[in-house]
Amino acid sequence: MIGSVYLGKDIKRGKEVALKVQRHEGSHSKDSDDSNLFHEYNIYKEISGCQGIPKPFWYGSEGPYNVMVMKRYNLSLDDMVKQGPLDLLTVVSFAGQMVSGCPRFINHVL
Amino acid sequence: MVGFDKRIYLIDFGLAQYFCDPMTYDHIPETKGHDLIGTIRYTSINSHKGIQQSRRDDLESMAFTLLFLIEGKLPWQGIPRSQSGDHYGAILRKKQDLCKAFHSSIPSALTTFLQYTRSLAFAEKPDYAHLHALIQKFPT
Repeated sequence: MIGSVYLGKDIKRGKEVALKVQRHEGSHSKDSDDSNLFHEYNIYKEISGCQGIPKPFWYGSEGPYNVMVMKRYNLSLDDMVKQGPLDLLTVVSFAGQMVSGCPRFINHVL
Repeated sequence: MVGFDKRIYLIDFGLAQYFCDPMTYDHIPETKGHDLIGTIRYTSINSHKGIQQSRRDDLESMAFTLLFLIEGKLPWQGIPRSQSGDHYGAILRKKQDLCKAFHSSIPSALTTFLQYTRSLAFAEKPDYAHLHALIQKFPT
């Protein structure tokens, strides 16, 4: 099941956060194995602390929804491309971060 | 995602899985008959063929992503859903064509990058330093 992403606000710190929300079918508890949002939250926790991985803040249930709260970022790469193709130097910077991220994430977990 | 610090962050791990056993480090077996999952636009050729994904597939999807960033569009975007109904097959053929031929508009180092990822064996550890060096050649 695909989740929806919302902009939220941490009212204690006054900071914006991202909320990933997924409706659960009645019988699925918030931490059941078949909740792939919970699976995703656990992966964030496992890799968190590694440069290039967002920090998850909270996971829980609210009414018929499972919710994950995480750090809010500026734009997706898709948003950036909608403003036009990127210049090659930006692509080189992003590509370098992507490739160096792979072994770093793997070494962090294994 | 791109942060306010201009650095990039990897998100959306809903379909992530171990490529090896975290205790024994045994690589997962190369199984077949897997359903196509995730975003078709960026999925690897082997994933189209139902082959279990491993480290090489992450890199092939990365190559498609980089081409998307450079060109603003991928050659298989906007293919009309044909009457035959084999939309995914049409996307697969376009991906295979891209790997075969050099295109003048694409940095040749990116074509080399893509061909390297396609040459990797299922359980092979990619040479990330080699790929990092190729990336530096994109603007030339």
